[in-house]
Amino acid sequence: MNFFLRSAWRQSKTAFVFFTFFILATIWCSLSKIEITPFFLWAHYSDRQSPTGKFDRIYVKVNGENLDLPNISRPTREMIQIPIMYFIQLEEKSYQTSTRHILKKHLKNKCSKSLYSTIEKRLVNDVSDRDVFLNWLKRYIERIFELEVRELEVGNSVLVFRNNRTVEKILEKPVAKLNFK
Amino acid sequence: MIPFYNDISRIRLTRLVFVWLFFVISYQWWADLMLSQLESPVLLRLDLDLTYWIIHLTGIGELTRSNYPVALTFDITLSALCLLTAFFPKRIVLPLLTGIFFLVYCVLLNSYQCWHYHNIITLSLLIVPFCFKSLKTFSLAFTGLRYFVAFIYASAAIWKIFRGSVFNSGQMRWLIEHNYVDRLAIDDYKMNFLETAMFNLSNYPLLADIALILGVSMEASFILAFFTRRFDYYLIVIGVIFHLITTILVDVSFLQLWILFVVFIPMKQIERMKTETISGVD
Repeated sequence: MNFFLRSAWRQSKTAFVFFTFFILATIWCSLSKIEITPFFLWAHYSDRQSPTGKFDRIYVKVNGENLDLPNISRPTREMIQIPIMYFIQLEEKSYQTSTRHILKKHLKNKCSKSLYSTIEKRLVNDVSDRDVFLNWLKRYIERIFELEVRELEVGNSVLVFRNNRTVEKILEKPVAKLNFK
Repeated sequence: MIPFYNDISRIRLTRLVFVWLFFVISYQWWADLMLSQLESPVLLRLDLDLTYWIIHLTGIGELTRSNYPVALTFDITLSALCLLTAFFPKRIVLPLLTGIFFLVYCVLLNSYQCWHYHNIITLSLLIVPFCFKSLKTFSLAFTGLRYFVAFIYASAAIWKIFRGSVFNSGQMRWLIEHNYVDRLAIDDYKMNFLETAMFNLSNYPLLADIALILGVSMEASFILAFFTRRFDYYLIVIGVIFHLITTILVDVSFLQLWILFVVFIPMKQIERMKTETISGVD
């Protein structure tokens, strides 16, 4: 690596500055555990975990039945699952996210009301997005599963492994429900 | 030593990378994940990533969400740009445009998916070397990218060692259970032979722990790339095997990123590539 930087220095001072900046920014982001694209944190699955056999999961019910998510491709499944997880977090936090907090702290008193409102609209969600989100979820599920969604329910559940290694749902807590009839 | 790529090898690499990108985008079309297929998503998660902030502040996100023809045009343009770059590898403006469109697409998708995935956005870095006309700059950037790819895997291993998760008894069992719990919660879900075999690994804690240590060792082997090019070919093999195993065990394929291993292809393997070095380097 030092040979590479030395070679870069000899060939192009601009390239050397670019590589050095990239390396330092990546190290800083890694140590601060912050991601600012393209300075990523590469630490996948490195958090220590204890196998309790108990997992908190979201659930989606369409027309009263659980949606069969495991049978679709992972990226498509996650376009449904992860926004729901985030939606539940937003509901629990009353839509007060770190992004909104930073915006308020650094921008609210430094720009006009209309500009701040535009910025806020482009960067964060608020409580008025609640039903709009559920309507989006309905449209996307209808597209993927090719079915008509008349009733939609999302919530938290707890899944546990039994001794015989099968899985049981021990808790189901609805967070939002919408009827489209 | 910085290998000096000639015009022909650069063209070959350009075609390889951008045809791959076209397949990545084609998969996104198939998976209903292009902007025009997202049905005007509502939630967006930016966290503190300022690049995401800047892109959303331009209004492009709002525009593609609220205007289907714009979103469709964006998607088609991105797909066409990948192919055009492969067909006209000497037009520098094409990889530049592809890079911009690709980065914007990844940022918007990750924002709407509410999770900042690395599986395709990392490819925008692979596009960077192709945006330089000079072969010298291309060679420098492409060589720099080789260290970056090595860093991706080395960093993942170092974090697991640093946090102690690699030697944490039960860690692998948790990972497998975490991956399989949703499927097993469905009453009539039938696991296939491979899934059954992999899930059964979680029933043997010692074997599962050994599997994790082996996996982290594979990631750690990329540290070698910082010191020598001698093992580059083996690193490609290790990388592919590693991802095949993670696909089966923890449902994480990162298949889209496999093209990054192109930086480890030994010079002599790229047909008709000159093996000169830039004068004055080690």
